[in-house]
Amino acid sequence: MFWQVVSATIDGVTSGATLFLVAVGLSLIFGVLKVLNAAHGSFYAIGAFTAAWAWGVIGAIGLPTYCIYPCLFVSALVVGVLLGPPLERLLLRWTFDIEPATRRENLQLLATFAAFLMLEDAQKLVFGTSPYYSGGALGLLGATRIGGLLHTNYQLLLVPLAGVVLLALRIFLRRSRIGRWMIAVAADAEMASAMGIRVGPVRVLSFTLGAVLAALGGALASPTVGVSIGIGADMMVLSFAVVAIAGLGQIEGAVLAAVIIGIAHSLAVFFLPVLSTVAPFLIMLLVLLVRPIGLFGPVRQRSI
Amino acid sequence: MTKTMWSAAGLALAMAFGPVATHAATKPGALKIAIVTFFSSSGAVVGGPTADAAKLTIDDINHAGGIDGVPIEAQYIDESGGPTKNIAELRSVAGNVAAVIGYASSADCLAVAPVAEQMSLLTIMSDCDTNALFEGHSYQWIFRTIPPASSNAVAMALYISKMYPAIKDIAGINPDYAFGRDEWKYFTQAMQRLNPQVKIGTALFPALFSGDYTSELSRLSGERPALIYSSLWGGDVVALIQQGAAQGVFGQGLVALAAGTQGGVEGMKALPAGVVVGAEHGYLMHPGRIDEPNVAKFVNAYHQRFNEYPVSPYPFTIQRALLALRDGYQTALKSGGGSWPTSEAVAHALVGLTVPTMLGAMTIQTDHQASYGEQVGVSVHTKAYPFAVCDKIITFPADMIMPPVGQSAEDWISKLTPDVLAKLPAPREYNP
Repeated sequence: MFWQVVSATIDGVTSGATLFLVAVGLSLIFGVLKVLNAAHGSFYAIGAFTAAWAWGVIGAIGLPTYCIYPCLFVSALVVGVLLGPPLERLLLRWTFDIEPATRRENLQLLATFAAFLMLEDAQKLVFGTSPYYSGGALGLLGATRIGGLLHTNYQLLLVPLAGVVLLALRIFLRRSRIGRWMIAVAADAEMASAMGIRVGPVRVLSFTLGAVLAALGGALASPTVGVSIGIGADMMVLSFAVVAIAGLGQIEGAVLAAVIIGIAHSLAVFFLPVLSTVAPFLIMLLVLLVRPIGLFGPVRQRSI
Repeated sequence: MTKTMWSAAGLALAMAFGPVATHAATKPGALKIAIVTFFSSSGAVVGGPTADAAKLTIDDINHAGGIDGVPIEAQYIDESGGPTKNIAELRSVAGNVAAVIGYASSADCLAVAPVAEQMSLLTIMSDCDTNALFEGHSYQWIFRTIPPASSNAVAMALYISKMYPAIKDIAGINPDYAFGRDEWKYFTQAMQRLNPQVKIGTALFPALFSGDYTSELSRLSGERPALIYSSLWGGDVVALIQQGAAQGVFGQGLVALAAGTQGGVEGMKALPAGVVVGAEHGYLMHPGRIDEPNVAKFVNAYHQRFNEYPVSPYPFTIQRALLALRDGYQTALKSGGGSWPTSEAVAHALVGLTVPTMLGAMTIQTDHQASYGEQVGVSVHTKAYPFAVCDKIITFPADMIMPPVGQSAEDWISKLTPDVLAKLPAPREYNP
């Protein structure tokens, strides 16, 4: 029983790792641009498809299979950098000056949702409609037996990887110049502009960083799920749940929320399988009932 | 106002009689049919082979002169999107086609059948096997050219009971909808009738097309059941095989995949040896049959045209449905003295019809369900192909795995006894 709970916890934490990457990107975009990016799930999906496609190409060319691992990161970078800036400049840039705020927010939500629909179709055009399978990459690094159960080393490694990303993000935001610009724009865009910070480029950069993080989540998740149409929408809903639990704009909170959701799902599979799909949303419901601004709700002075 | 009312009434009347009017018995320039299968989402591993084999079969039929000189013309419709969408699609094509063939998802065929019946549209279900279709319903226009899910489950139970008699406990991971739940129900029922000492353990039901089974597999492998039974199909079984292989599930205990070949070449490539595979009712890569002229001809033609082997059941299931349609029309033509038959005449001709196919004759029973055997084997990797094939195949004749017309599968299974195991045909071994 104890080992079953341990195993479920490990499964939950590893699935929370990729969920965290997607959610932190969403949080970042909201923090700096104040936009709830409904197209975020598409970055995840396209990152996953690109990584799975790369796996196919590696097999076809005959490269050694471990080449997939750097390819995962490269796919994420390419997807984020290719999709982020055009989306931000073309769809969102003209919305930032619209007043009143509610009208602006509605337009931005609609614009990003439109982007989501377009990206779904673009994904079908580029990658086709059949599922991609890169499950072979899952077993390459071997597996570890914990408490009698085999866990793939790949999935176990996702956890420290997510930790490294979190740490890098923290250092970047708090110590680097661009990071501090982002924090400034998140706090008050007008004031930051008055102080001489170029808000436009900061927004593009933040959006792109958020997109890269989501695509990274997708690329890293691709060996563990069947990459098919619809995973973008599924992940979108889950990442919204994470962000709702953590509080919009909370980065460290997103880690905890993602882990909670991952563990909730795994524990449900072990003890109450009928609730396994619903469990994350039940938790979200409970948290929002008790604390509507999220567990780490916005501390008004700092959003990220 | 009155003019609008009359034109509206006229329109309503025309729409009511429209579908009947298109089924009038004038010989068409081409026999238009619609083929509905999954071209996107996790079911897409079904649609590719289905459409490919359909094109091959239709070309063959048309080259041989079509049906009394009339060529078959097919349009392909994507089944993805759920039952409501499929009903809408059906309504939109009903006026233009003489018949609809297809439907792989049991959910879709259960939803579509009453609608097609109401529109008097000849429908041949080629891939969905839920028992619920014909149990308790009797249709005039709906037919099915594959055995029901209970046949698959019973064949699996018979095979495992015969080849692995020491199984003590069973766990299951099946998709959470009619087909998955039915498969588990029939399999466990049959296993308990054949092995009274067997215990039924954890049964998990992840959502159809969910694609991520790591948690479920962790749970199951933690309990170490003697047998894990899964009826996941299409893209799901590929994900299950890949994730299961990575998590070491195939090394401990026996795994049985009722729809094992439905993952296509991708699934069979990743499948380890020693897994019990339900090759269902159309295993063309059967080492014992692949040299038969008809089978070899089809497999080679398919491989040449599409650069892939017909590993899954879909190429053959769509062929059987098309052959049934052709034979139904030809029988109705003969009994009509050569004049082009109405759909009603074709439906009438199909009942009781025996259709020769490359793996044996298929008879359509009076309840419109096809009577056909199923095959189960064990996976093995050979040098002949880059993917696993089935060895030790037992071909179960229809009467061993299907209830007689009118009896429900559950009822029939509840009367199974272990002595039926002695009457099973011997397994066919693969000798490369």
